Amino acid sequence: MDKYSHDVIVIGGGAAGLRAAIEAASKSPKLSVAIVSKVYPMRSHTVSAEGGAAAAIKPDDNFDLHAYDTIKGSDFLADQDAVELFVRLAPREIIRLEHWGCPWNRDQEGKIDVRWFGGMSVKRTIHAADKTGFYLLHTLFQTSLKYDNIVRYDEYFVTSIIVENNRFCGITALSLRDGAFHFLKGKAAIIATGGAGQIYKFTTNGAINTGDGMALAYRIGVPLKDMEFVQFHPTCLPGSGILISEAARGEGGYLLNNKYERFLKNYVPTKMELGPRDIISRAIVNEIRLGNGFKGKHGDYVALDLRHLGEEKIEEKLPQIRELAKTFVGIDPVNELIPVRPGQHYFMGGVHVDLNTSTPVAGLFAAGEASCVSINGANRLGSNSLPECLVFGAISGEHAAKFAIEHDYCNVAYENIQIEEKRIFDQLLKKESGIAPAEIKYKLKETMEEKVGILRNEKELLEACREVEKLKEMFKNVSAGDKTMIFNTDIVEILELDFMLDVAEAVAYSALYRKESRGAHYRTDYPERNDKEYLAHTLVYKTREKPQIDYLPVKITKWQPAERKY
Amino acid sequence: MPETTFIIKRYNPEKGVFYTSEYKVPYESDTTILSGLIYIKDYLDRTLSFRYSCRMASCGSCGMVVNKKPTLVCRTLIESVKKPIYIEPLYNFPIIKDLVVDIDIFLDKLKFVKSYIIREKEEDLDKEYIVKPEQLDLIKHSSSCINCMLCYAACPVFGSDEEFIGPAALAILYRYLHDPRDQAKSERIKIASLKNSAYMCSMVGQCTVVCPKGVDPSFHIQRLKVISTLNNLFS
Amino acid sequence: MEKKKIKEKVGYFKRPIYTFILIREFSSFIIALYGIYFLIKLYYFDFNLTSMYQYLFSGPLEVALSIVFLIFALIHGITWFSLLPKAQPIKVGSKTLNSSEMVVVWLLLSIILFFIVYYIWLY
Repeated sequence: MDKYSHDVIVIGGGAAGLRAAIEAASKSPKLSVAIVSKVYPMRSHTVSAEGGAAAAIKPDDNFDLHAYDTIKGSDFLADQDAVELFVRLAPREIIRLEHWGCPWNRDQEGKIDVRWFGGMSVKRTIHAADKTGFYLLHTLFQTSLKYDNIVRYDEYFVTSIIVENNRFCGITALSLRDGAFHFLKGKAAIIATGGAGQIYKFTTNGAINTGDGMALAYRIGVPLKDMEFVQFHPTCLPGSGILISEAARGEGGYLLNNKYERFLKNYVPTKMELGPRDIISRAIVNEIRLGNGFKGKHGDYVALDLRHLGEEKIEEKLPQIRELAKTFVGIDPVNELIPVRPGQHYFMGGVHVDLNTSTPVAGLFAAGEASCVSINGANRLGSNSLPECLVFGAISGEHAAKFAIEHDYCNVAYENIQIEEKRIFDQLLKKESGIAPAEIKYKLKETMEEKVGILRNEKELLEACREVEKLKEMFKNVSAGDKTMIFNTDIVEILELDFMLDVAEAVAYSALYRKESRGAHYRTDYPERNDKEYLAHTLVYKTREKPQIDYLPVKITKWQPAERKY
Repeated sequence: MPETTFIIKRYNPEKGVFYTSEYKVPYESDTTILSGLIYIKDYLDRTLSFRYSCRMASCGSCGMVVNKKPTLVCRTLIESVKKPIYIEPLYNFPIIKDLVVDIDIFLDKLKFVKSYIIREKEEDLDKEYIVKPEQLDLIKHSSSCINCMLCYAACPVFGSDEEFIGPAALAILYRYLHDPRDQAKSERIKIASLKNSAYMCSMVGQCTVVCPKGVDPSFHIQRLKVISTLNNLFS
Repeated sequence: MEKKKIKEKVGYFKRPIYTFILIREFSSFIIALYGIYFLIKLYYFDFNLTSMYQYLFSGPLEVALSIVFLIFALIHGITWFSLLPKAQPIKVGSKTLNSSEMVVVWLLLSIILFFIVYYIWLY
């Protein structure tokens, strides 16, 4: 067991993690900042974000307008003080990225261009073609190379966070390269590990999005907030779940049913294709239930029509959509309809943090999709997540650096670390025989997809909770099929599955206890929003038995909850 | 469902030996090679190691050599390649295990070419730089690199001398050299003129052929040669 | 902990994409040989005895050699001109010529050059 120490440890190397690391490293060259990621940072899933980043930078826009769109989109569950902070800082972050070289699209005058996005009342989505996340991540990563006080631990899998007396002390990590187990001592840490889309069967998320950070925090007693709010993106390719960006509709694409009519006129007549994601996803599910979907080998779907945009516009604004459609379904959107259906996309919920991104544990912060400040409430508006990563990544970096300057390392009881080392090497690796993780993984995905999906009800949610419990029981019999030490991806899958089960438990229980419909959480048995009882954030705590649920009132500043109509 | 054979060249780092494994994989018209590998991992052989994540040709994790050609397996359909499918780890990199290679050397090169905007003085955050769309067009291709490392596998020059900065890093050098916001032109041209830089390229052109993102490193390197030659001639 | 790194040799003949490059580079050597061969032949050429055509293809060996040389010249020409748009892009208006258009330009220029040299030599 090796020992390293760093002032600030950033877990995760995506947009939020890199932004946090850069911010912390730039506070003082004396601070040593570590980025610990289970993949090379440029492989992080930010890379797949397509549409863009929202910020009020144009003269026809203002902070209140962006804030209200966000709050209305969130079905009034967002904390309004957080949203106000977010919209005020977002433009600065966008300009900062532009100064670092991010190739945002430009208008004819050479200024940053904006496009339409769902749920926004003006054009405010800054973009770089339809590969915004890719450009943003690579800009951040390449910029991070400038800082000599940033140390990267590439392909280190974090297995636990060590906390003593409610104070962060360090992390334990498995180096995939050589199979060595390390203890990284730190003064402060930032969880920026992204979402947990892998707990669903049909998801736009990559294989690495297994909710590691959420589960790490959950296990040390930090509550997870609003986990029942899972966003389903309306347009994903059937079969693979590859994301077809909302930008396609922002640039003027239509959604059609099998009668070739724009069916959204019956659901969101004023916004049509630019409605919020939760409503459009439910509309598509409903159309398919009514028998208005096209038949396909991966189930029924609706169609996305870009033909009227013309080849030139598609090439300029949506080149990746065209490439993806051609490669994965063999369709050229210039002349043909793209088949699409809703798929899991984003977790509005995450590690419970305050406005400074600090968790209840001293010295532990969280940012990005893994955290829940909450600006997204019950439904995130498209293109709010990239600026969220930047804004709250920067805030977390700043506060973690401050914490590290003001505090010293804490003393760790090494027995706790040895217990963790034993858990991995003796319990998982050395166990003679057991079941394969894939068996549990696919059952979990199936359960979440069917029972904690777009439309939910009491009976199915209860079944889901029981099923997850059963799978957790089964997990105790899992053993590694690969007993070697170097780049053992089998053990990684097992550790990830362990995290996924914890996150799935939090999602299912949170959903079970929220007996209303709000934003992305739609209960067929409680189809109305209930502000009297549930205008509050769900907090879910891990206990030895069932998870414990608590509620936290929503912070309201200027905008009283009103009916959400588009 | 039709079935095909995957022949995978593997490496056992603990024993230090190469060997091959064969697997029967069922597939449909839209099954990618990556799905085939995941099928093997889940149901046939849990000891097989390979990297993957986004499965939509963005993250660049799953570069391998398929039937002797460097390929991103997530965007390649089983149907579209010759069968049985022969898969090897990426050429020219140290092998860690099976299909996993060590690409740390590229990250050093990326740092070496100074892959970030350098300015004498940073502007205030309330002001954006003016960049015309046609200036942006100049770096459209070179900024699309996903660091998948296929070009390094396809480059015999890098293969015989790993001092060579290589296709992707040089394309990124070109990208920052042509970025209108950057103010370190002479520094960058100096890097392009080094012995292990653009001039080392013998214009094989395979980097461009294998690039899944249309970056065209071969073109960018030739331009770097011209730019640095002209610059050194007239200065 | 520093592990010994396992890296395979380049293996120019095991990897088809590298073998192809070797053939291309080798072809330039063959073309250089042809240049020498042609100059020697030219040195001994007597204009009064025979025509140039008969002299160059005077026997089966000469014909076979010429065919081999032609093949290598084609390999080198085609691969080189497919790379040329990268080395020296030619712009016509706002459009950059692609390799096949460049080959056409190259052929036209060669034919023009041939006739110029031919007529200068003739008169």
